[in-house]
Amino acid sequence: MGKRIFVVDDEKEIIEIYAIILGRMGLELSGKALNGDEAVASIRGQPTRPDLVIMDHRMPEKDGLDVMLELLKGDPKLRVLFVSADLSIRTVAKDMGAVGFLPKPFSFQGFVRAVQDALAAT
Amino acid sequence: MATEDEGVGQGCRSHMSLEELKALVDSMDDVAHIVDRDLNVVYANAAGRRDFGQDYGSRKCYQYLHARSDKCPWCRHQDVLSGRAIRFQWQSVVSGRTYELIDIPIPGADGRTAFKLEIAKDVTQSKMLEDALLDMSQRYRAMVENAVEGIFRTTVEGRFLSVNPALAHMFGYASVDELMAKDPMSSDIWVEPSQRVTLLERFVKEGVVRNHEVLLRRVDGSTFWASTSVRAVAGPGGGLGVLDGMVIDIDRRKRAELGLEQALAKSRAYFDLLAHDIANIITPVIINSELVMLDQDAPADARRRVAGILRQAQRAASLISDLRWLETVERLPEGENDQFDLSDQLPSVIEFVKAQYPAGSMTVRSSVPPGARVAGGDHVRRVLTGIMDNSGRYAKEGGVVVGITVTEARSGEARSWSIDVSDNGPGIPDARKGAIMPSLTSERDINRGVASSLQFYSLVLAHFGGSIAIGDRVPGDPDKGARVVITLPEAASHG
Repeated sequence: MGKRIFVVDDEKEIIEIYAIILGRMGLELSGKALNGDEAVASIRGQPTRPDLVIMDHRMPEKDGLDVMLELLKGDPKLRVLFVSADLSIRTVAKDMGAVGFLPKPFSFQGFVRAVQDALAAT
Repeated sequence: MATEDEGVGQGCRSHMSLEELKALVDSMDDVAHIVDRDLNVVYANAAGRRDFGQDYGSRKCYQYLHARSDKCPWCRHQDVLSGRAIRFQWQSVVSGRTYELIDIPIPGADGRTAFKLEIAKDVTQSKMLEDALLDMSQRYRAMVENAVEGIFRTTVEGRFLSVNPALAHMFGYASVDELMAKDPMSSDIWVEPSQRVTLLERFVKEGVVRNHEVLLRRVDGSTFWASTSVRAVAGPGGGLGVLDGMVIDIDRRKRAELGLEQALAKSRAYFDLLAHDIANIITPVIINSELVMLDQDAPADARRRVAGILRQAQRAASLISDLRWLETVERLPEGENDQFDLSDQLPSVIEFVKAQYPAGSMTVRSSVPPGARVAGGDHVRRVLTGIMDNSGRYAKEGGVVVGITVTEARSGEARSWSIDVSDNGPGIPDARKGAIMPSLTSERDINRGVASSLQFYSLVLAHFGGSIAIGDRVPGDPDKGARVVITLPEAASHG
């Protein structure tokens, strides 16, 4: 069974391409959220921890860094890969516990590599 | 002329003969004369004769000492005859010198004053010094009074001791007395209490504060920016005495600066928003285009059109990335001293770029002398990565050979390094060279078309004092490959 990935982004088109690429990678899309609050509630409501959360930063309600902090507080082993056009958080996201940072815009191959690296990260 | 005369008490009470008196006068270094009751100069010692001439005999004191034909109007001779000693300051028109003079009554055998002993101490030098100090003090006072800058003196505890009219005017008070009545540390004067705290902290730490910019409040409640400087003046015991300070009204300049900073911050925020949103918008364009390109069943014509869309989207992505990079570089603080060690770090750049291409398709031959360190830090890494990536991207079938040669370049005392990157790829046609690498010396140049990566490299390198030039690997033969030469100053040594 493929790894389970949860995606968070306020752009529906981005969520849609995540779904396509993850499908081609043989990974399972375990859930999606369009804002920070929804992300916290949905991920906490998952029956099992997703293997990876792909996280946007600038979103309504709550930004990605706050969402990650809240989630890591309850589950320190959760893996979060930031995929964001906000390059100013590249370092701080990693310092706060993200396993990787992929800047937008990205390529198909770039995304595949980033997800593979994030899943392989210890 | 005599000034400030005063009685200094009774004179000599014991009788002295004229001869004894002459002997006493001769033993004195100061000017000294003996004058009888009728104002005749009876004797002058050597110093007296030096200053007033040898010929004192049969002359009245007003003739000999004052060059007058009649008695001096200020004469106190009668007082001396009555037994009082007189002291006064006297500037002589004869010798041109100033004396501290004392007239002492000398009693005769009958107990009445027989002679007046006049001792004159030459105080010309000290008088000149005193006058000069007085003059300087008056000039200093006038300077303070008329200064455009606000000047003040306070006690250590924070009470005004003096302020000049400019300072009172700056705060909107009609007189210095009104300002003097204020507490210099009160919130009536300071808009931001934290600025007052910072000023005091700096003062305690450094002993002097120069050009501390603060926001102050006028008497009408309006505010103004000022530059303040304060220094401590030691007290008599060497401890902290008073604080002297100066206040310069910098309101117009400071508000213009703040306005500019706000405008820049707004521009940066707009740019950031624009870059962020465009990045989000083109991400699906790139990925969906790539998905179509990967779809072998898609019609060839559609794939060709989508390939065009993909190229433009990638170009837009690259442009955003380069603009963000340039913006980051332009915001680096003055004197940023990061270095890029070519002998140490170039191999990792080469390995990174080679890893992006099929194994064996890129061969890199490099020559770097030890100790070659250039200014620019990781930004140089990005430039070199981009240039080598261009060689790989535009390689002919069968791969590409890239040569990198680093050499020292001296210009006078300044030491710099030249990084020569050439490849055996398709080269840059002469007609394209100008389009890829226009001068970019003005805003108009920047605005006139779509910028190439090399143009961004040029701007980034220029920030660190470097430059970039493009040409042919084999001069005059663009078909035999391209050549890019970067020149960067040697990194300033740390520590």
